[in-house]
Amino acid sequence: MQTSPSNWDLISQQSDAKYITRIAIKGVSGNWIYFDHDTIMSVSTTHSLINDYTQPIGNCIAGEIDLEVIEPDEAIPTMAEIRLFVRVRSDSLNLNSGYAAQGRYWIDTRETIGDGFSENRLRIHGYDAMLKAERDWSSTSGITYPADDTVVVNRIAALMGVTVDSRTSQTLSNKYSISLAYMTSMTCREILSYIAMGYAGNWTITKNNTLLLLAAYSYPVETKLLMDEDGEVLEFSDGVCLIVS
Amino acid sequence: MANNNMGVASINRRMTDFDKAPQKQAFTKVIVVVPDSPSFTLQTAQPADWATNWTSYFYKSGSDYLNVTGDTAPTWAKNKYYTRSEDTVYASPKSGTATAEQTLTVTNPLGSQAMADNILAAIGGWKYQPYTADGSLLTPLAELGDGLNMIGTEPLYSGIYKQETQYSTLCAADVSAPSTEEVDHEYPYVDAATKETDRKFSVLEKSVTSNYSELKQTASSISASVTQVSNETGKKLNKTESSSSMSWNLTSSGFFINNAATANASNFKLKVNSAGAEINGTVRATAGYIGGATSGWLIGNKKISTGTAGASGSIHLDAGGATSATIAGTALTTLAICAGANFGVTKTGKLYAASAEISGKVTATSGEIGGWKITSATISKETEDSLHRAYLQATSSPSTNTRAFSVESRAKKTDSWTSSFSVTYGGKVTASNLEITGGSININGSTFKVTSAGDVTCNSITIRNGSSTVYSAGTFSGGLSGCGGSVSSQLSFGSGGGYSTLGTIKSTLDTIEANYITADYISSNYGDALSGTFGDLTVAHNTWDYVDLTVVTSVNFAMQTYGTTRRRFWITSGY
Repeated sequence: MQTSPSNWDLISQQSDAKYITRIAIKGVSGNWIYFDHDTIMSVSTTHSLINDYTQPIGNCIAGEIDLEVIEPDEAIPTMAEIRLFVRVRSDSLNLNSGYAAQGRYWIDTRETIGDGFSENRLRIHGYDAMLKAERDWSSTSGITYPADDTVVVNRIAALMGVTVDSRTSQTLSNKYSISLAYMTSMTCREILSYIAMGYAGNWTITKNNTLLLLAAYSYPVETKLLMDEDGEVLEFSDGVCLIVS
Repeated sequence: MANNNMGVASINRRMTDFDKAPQKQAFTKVIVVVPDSPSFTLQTAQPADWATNWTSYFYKSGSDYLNVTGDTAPTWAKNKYYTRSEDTVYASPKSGTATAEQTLTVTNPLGSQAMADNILAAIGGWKYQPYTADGSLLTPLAELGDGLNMIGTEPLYSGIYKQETQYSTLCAADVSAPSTEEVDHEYPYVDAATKETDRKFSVLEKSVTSNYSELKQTASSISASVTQVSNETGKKLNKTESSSSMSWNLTSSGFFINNAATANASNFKLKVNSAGAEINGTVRATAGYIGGATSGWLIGNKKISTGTAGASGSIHLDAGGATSATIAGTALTTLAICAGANFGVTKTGKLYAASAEISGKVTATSGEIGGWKITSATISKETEDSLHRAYLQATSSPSTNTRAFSVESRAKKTDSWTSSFSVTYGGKVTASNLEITGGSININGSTFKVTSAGDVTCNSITIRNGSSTVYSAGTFSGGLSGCGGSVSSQLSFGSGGGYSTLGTIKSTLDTIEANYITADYISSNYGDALSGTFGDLTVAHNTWDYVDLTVVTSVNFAMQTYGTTRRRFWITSGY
């Protein structure tokens, strides 16, 4: 669960709370081109830890984004970066929350749609940084083989242009040893996959663009939370209230 | 292993399109397979197939495991022979059984017993709860790996394994823990089996490359190895298979495939050696190159070519006649053959060439050769200004007056042609300006002949004086004279050869003049017509002088009746 931005929790409790989406795409000038509710036709994202139960561990599945916006004046270069944000607003409070990051993606395909009467629209499909792991291992300098899995993961994350999520660092504790022979015969994504298996987990790119290893059973153990009449978990200053049956 | 840093989100089941599958059984056993890591297991009891399959077992020599060999099975010995497994398998726990659903099997080249134990420790006891909850009003702050508490009737607790979010004012999301059904995912995900296959292929490829020099140095072991493989995969290629019509042979001089019982270098169908490959027989190629790996002769469907059609140095042979190029300045789209930009033949046989030298038969019913226009019956060429032309005609049934050749001109292009020289099929030559500079002219053999020296030989000469009066048969009235003042030839007339019979020279005009005249008879219409010196006689009109006779007045030569006497001449004396 992401950390709540400023005013998020307060506004979310309002009956007129609504989410407002913002998209930023880096144009050819290097500046960000922003798209808001008046220029966004649609946007959706997909993220998966596993495809199906037959392989519950060892997956490295890329997040995807599909969006359609009014075509901007500035050109958008190949494989341009897309950043997605969302915030919550209450008109009654006339208050907006801070933006919560919803992931970084890079354009894979694009299509310009126009009917000759209204403005052209741009339909884009993109992937997150996980796709950048689909490359051969090529970085050997500064690494002593066989290398610990932590060293290898940090190097692969650097090659992908992401940082390793702090929660991953806590998980990588088995210190599996990896020889150079394996590295040179696999892609970085395969290496990540085999490391994830050793921890009974799967890799994902978080909405804050970090590389996160999630154990298959990563979520907190089942609790019987005390709910209010709206189904919301009742939280108290010292945590949630469990019902002991 | 739970990650306590993950959160728990809640959704109301009643507000979603919810479905769930039965909870999976907890994993109680983990198997880690390390591929391509051979392991040997010592046999303590005689295998059932020992007598027939002893060569598939191994014995240990030092630190190496070697195949059992021999023509017959050796005597079984306990704790001596091994079986070989291509993969190493680690199980946690090492013993005990579990159902397929309770067993998690993974393939991992980094695998070890410790890894198997770690996985079981992390995942053991975990029960996977599949579900789908579409259209959930899930906070956008929820992430993969978070717990999901579905409240309402039949509450359910699971994790977020898949999340599809539609960003709108509601941010509705489809969340799920997928079961075994196929997921329509566009991401080019490579499944474990495919990755394993690719990895094995990569390892094999590198192994072949790295061991090449070793294989090269141990030719005998190569032969043994190849024989074994052929026995396993294709007995048709086994040279020991007597019933096969094919055989192969790998020697230091090359690799040979033959359609005979014994393969050798003289009767091969396929030969591969350091020089390349040779095929003796049918070759079938539907693509690729000849003469280069990525260039040379490109093989296509009924087509072979090199270079871009029409470009310098290119050649295309296209049985379909669909090649396009500009040949000799003409854009063509149905070429069957073309070479560069200067030669091409269309699929209908039309030849285009910027330059051609042809030795042999050439047949053309139209077109041009060097500017000579060709039709089915004529060939002609005009000057650049189109005011003159040479014309040669051969019709199928020409008349004697049909023009066979002519030289023609016209004042302007719109005028009709006028012939200045022509020859008909009847042999008639018409020329407006004929000049012969040598040789001779012979008509009807030598009946009439004019030599280059100016001699004319003929049977008769007819001289026309104008168009109406004709003098012929030796009677000349128009005049015949020599040229200039140096006429030295004689003018002789006779009635037969050798001038045995003298003829007559007659002039109705003024005079006949000559330095020397021999005649039987000279007559004149006028008495004073004769003048000159005849031997000792000098005649001056009406007077003549003889050396021994002085005529004072005149001598008259004429037939005259004088009185009763006829006289032929008389002298008029001056006295």
